[in-house]
Amino acid sequence: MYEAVGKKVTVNLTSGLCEQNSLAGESIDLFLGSRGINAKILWETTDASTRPFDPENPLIFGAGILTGTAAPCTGRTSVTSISPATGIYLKTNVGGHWGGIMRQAGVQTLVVTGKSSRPVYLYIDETGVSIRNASKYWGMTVREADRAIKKDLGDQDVQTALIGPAGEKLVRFASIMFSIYSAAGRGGIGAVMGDKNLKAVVVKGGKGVAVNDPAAYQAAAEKAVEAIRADSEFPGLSTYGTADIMCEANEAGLVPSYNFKKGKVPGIEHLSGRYLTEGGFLKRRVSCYSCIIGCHRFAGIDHGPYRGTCSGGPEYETLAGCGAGCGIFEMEPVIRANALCNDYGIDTISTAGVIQWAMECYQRGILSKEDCGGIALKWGSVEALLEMIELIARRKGLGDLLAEGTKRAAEEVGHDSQQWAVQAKGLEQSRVETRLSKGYALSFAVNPRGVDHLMAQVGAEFGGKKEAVELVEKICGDVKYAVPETVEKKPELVVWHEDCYAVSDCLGFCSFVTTAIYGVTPALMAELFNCATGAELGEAEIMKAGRRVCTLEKCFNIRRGLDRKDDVLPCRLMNESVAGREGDRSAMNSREELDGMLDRYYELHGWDLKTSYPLESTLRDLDLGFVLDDPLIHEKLFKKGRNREEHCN
Amino acid sequence: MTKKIIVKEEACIGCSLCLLNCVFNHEKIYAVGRARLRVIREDTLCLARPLVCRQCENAPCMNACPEEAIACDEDGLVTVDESLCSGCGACVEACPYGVMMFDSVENKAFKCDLCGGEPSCVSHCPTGALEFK
Repeated sequence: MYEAVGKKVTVNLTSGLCEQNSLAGESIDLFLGSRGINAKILWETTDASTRPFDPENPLIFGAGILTGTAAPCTGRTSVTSISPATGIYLKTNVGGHWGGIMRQAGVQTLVVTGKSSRPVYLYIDETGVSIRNASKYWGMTVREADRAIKKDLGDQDVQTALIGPAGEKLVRFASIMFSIYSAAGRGGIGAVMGDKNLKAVVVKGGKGVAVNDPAAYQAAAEKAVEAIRADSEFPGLSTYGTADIMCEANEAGLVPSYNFKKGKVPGIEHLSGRYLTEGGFLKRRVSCYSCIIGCHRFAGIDHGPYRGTCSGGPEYETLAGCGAGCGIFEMEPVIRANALCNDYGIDTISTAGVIQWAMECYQRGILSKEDCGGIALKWGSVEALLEMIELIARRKGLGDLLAEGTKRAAEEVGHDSQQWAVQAKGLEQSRVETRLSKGYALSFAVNPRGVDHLMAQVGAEFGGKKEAVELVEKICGDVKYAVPETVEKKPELVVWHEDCYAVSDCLGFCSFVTTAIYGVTPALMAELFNCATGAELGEAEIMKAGRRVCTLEKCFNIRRGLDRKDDVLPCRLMNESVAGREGDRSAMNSREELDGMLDRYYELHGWDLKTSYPLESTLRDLDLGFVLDDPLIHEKLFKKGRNREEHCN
Repeated sequence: MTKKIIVKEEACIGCSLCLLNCVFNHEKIYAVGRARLRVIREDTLCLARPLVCRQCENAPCMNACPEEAIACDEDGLVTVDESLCSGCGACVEACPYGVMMFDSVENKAFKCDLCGGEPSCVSHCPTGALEFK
């Protein structure tokens, strides 16, 4: 059955020991691959006391189980660890070509533990893995290091996963950059890599990937291509990228600006995907491995002060965060900011988030120009944005504080600045106006890594296109629930999207083709999974596997002390209505509104309403009985019998 | 004259589906290293450039082969007769486009055969960067 599954490679950077094992022992039929297997390894190799910068904290790279094949849009890799930003579960998922090439070398999963005493990089090919000296690359930007490594190897066909200076400096939102411009961005995964003194993981292709039933697999892959192409969202995403939605979303008040103080701002058209393309900035469309959409961009500036700047992106989140969020409505500065973040290896969402928080502190007089090293941190200041990015990446001046992330910075600065620190669980919220999209709000609140859209994208709640409306009808029983501002049936929608997103991640599918474009259905994913591995999972079973993964991730956080009270949204969003609707509690993420959705969400999951801990029966039904063997979990679940079945509801 | 694969470089988004489908069509595995075409990448610029066999008239690979293992048929398709190939590699060196491939295990040259008239790379290219005409 496991013929099509690559190897697990384990590297201990402290001892220098490397091992290769079959992944067969990791229960592929239960955890599917990539994110699921990563979660299981993280569960097994850490305990409640493991901290992000302990050598024992593993950095786990898992290519999708279908990654490396010709199934469309399956080139993705999940990277899993304990987050330096949040101290809890972290999965980041990334495109590019790295995962596809690692699979070509026969490797499915790479687990890095320990800590090297000097800068090293890993080189993986079909013969195995070697640990190599990276002293000369330490300090280089992502682009410089990629170029130097390829030159030194005399090989342009390898792919790199790299950290920049920010990862080396342990910036708590440092990213790992794959294929130079694709970011495993969130939660500071790059800082874990930097802490291990690991500059890069270089992969070189090899014998390739065999699937269990080639003819049936290829036929299913062709079906997936047709399904993606037939979706009404395909042309826009392909032509204008992720920022295609900018103007439309802004019109609906969904693009938060000025640190979530304003919406529906004028000037947004200069941050749109259309303007990026037609304004002459787009140099070419770029696809990840096996992707037929090509939503990624390569953009550059030919004139003016930033002439010569070019980089991958910018994506919607970067345009909304570094642009509208900071009060900047010009394309060139955002392309510049994006290029800097990519080169230094920092997450554009958190970078923009913490700078917006600092701008608001400056506006309120809590941070002075002196505090900011002479920079006037004013809304709309391009100079302030660009200088602050440099200071953060190098941990200089105020940048050293901001590099700790919004939550820690606000704790340090005080003066009630937590109130406009738009974060929860320690992660800066992505640029989605959850006060006007209640499904997103719930999915953000329960997201085990913090408030963002990358564990479940509940796009269907907006309706807007026939595929979304049909899905809402299928899940909720009526098309009337395809409206973003109501809470009814949103828990049902969120749970479906969580499960589906988890399956996508495990298989290596881009979530855009399963939960934005809805063409690749769970049934089709099950078909591909079965053809690849020889398993016999139905649609319901593969979605149950997704649920299993989500639940294990939840348990990971419970073991680290989290419970219902942590399933919240940023303070501002729970207490302030969106601009123009002051006093309207339905235009905020109020406590009572969230509580109502949480009750139903926990009920659907089979979790205790008071604590949010899964019931024993839920765990057993999901074949997660092993979770109960953990003494901490056992104590929490059975303390005073509060989690017995009769206490449910 | 037979139809040829034409590359429109500016349309290539670098997805590798041409490579994957080429090999799948021939060997039923997904192994980019066994493809009968290449994609040259310049990752810092996100540039990808497919290189395909042009089925040259008076083909340099054919002329370089000391075993007369490479021939051009009446349709203009350049083929390698594996039974005659000695594995000397002269054709690989001679190909100006770098698309005469070599199997170091079998010690044989191999190349694009246009998939018998329906090139899989072309039919799976999502952007029309490869055309067959």
